[in-house]
Amino acid sequence: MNILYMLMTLAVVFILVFIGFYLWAVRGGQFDDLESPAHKILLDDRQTQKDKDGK
Amino acid sequence: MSEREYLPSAARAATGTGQACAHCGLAVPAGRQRGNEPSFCCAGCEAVYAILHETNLDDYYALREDLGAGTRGPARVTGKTFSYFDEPEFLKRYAEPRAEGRVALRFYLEGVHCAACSWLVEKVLLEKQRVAYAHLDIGRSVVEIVYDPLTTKLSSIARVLDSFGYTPHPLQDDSVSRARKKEARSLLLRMGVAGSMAGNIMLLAAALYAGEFTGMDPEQANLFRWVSFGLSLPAVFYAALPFYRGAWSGLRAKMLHMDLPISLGIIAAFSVSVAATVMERGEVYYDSLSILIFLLLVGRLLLSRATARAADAAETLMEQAPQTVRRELDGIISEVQLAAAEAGDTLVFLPGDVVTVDGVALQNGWVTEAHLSGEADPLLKSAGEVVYAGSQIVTMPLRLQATATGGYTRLAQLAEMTRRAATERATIVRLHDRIAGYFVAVVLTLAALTALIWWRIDSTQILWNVAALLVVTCPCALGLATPVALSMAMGRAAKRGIFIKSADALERAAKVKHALLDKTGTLTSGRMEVLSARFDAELSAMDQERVLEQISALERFAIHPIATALQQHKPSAETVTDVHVLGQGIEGFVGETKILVGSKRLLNDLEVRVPEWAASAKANVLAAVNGRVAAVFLIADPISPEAQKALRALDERGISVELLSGDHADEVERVADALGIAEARGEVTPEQKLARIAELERAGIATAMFGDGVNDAAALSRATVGVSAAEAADVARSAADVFVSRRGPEAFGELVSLSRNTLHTIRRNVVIAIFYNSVGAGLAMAGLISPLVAALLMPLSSLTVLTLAVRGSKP
Repeated sequence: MNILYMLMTLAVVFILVFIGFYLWAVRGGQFDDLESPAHKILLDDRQTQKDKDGK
Repeated sequence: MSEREYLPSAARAATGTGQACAHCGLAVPAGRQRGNEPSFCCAGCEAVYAILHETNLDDYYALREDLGAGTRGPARVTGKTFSYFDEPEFLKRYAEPRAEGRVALRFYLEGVHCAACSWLVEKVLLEKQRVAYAHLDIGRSVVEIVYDPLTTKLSSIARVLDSFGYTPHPLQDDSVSRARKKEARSLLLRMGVAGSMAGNIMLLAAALYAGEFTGMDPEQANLFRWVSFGLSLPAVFYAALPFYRGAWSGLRAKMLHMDLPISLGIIAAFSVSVAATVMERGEVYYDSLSILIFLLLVGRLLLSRATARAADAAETLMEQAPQTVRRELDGIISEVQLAAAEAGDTLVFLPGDVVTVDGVALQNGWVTEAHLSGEADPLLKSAGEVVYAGSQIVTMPLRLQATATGGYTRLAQLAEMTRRAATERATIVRLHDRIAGYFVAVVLTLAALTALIWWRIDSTQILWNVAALLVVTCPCALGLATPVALSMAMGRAAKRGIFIKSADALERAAKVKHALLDKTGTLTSGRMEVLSARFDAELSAMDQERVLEQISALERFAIHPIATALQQHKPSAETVTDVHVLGQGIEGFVGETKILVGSKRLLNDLEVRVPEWAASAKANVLAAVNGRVAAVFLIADPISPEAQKALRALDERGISVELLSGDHADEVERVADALGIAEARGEVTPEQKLARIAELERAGIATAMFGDGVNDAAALSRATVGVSAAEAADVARSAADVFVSRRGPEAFGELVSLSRNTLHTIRRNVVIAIFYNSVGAGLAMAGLISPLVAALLMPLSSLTVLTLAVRGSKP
């Protein structure tokens, strides 16, 4: 029985921690623009490759 | 010859003979070709290319290729100084202070079309301009920058952006889009909270259900119930708030909103569960209610994302700060805010500029009033003639004296009319709100009936059974499936270049019975062509060829669309001298030969004898060689091959078509005849368009209006559905419900089909949901509903309906 109390408390703590992270991500605008960053990652990659070639 | 640089793009594309512009890919005119070196269609593209090359940003071209973004219009560099950006008042008004003395600003950029643009803009700003932060949102073409005003001048940032062809427009008052962003974020947050609570409560519920079959220590069951209760609190009191608000505002407006039965279900389920938890007997529904809240929020989020793009575009237009004009004072030209310009000022507008005041031309110049009156052909405004705000300058800078500014211009009056028309539009009750009305009535009747029955059978069971009824009849399936069906349809439309601003517009499109087309241009191919040519009988085949070459060479100096048709022919190599562009034609020497090309009226005015064969020919352009008519041409914009097909498709859907255009009556008649459109009127004023829609509305006919001019804006917002092109005038685009990035009425046919299919899907979902609910209601009234049955029945109905909603709206 005691282990149940402990596990449930732990579960609630986990929930709170994850909601905290989620809150931080949403407030920071990480989900606002789902389109532009997806393109950007491709572009940055290409740029680094080119820089390496240049050296 | 410098005028060549200002040729409109259509003309430019037509004049080339093979070589493509190294920047924008359009054909390069003969005079600018440079063999093996990169050639450019205009000075703008050349400048941008040179800057990119000097600053080692050539990668832009390769990236653009990689992304398959294709080519767009040529770079349009305004060459403004943006000096007023550095004034303290400007920064005070538009900039938002940030940490370390930095400020944040947002600009709408013209000419953003693909991810390569975002790379270029951010790279240039961050590396060359030492801006602290730069982010370009491609969907909205809005760049946000954070910089230090002490080390960097805003005008230099703006000039750099402008020099790449991304003319910046400062954005002000973003309250609308900020509110929507906040709303979207809070919806996302609510969904996440509801989801995580629902997941955990379901784990506990699984244990409780298992306990019912295998036996469970009551103390342990109590613990599980109390923990579930605790976890459901954020879902019920935070995540589900939008539903209570919707239901409440619906009640206050004396309207039964879909949120009302949803709120009833949630509150009933929660109250009965709390009662059961406290009294330690009865049933708990924490799992069902939390998953219900989660799923409903998912549906809402999908819908808000589906409309975001079109709504964003409209809001960005509204946020744009007032523009500036070039004012000439004592021979010095300076940029001032538009509001500072007054009647009597001398203003200068450059090619491509949209005139922002009503005024009198101080010199001759070509303008197009396509956005104002719908007439597409450029007009020659001679000194003293009135130029209206909204006209676009075609070639050569134009100086004019302002007669009316701001709210007194014809343009502002049209915009005002648009706002009024929007409020007069007939409202429709959304399908699922109509259903909600019946729904609430039926559920409440059933609840009363259940109470009555159980009062006779076993009065202790009344509360439990009534609550169970409210829980299982909660229209979760509908509340979820309707937004999903709508957002799927909007996503599908967007893929085909149809952007819908609101779910209402999608529903309204299904009702359309009559389509009003504004521009004849939507039905034609958009390019003038020589449809037939006849020559003087005395000319040999070789002479005819020579005449055509000479005309082609001469027409290169004209900008009228008719001229582009005659430019198609290989030009003569002889030098062209002494060119005069006349109101209805052009005159000049090609080599030693004097060529005159123009309308019959022009030739009569110049006293050139028009022989019998030329007068009787079906032609609108005559060409005289050394004062003798040598050839006649019929030049017109041919009907586009898709138009006929698209009109037939509309006809099959039971939609009649009418032409209602501000264009010339002759042109409207020609297009109507060719396409067999019975109802056609030309030279229609904006007021008449509005009146026609109101007339049809009174007759009970739902209308769709197509148009992209300022003159259509009022009609667009009054019609049942207003459709405009993506490149339409700003006012028109914000007045329309839908805008399409494709030519022609074909897209509209698809929109109607999509709308009808979607409504069909929603109706089918209603039937299925009602079937499930009837089964559930029957069980609940019989007192046979247990939380387990509810937990199985509700997701099952949601899933069925959801699957059908996702698959269903396929055309």
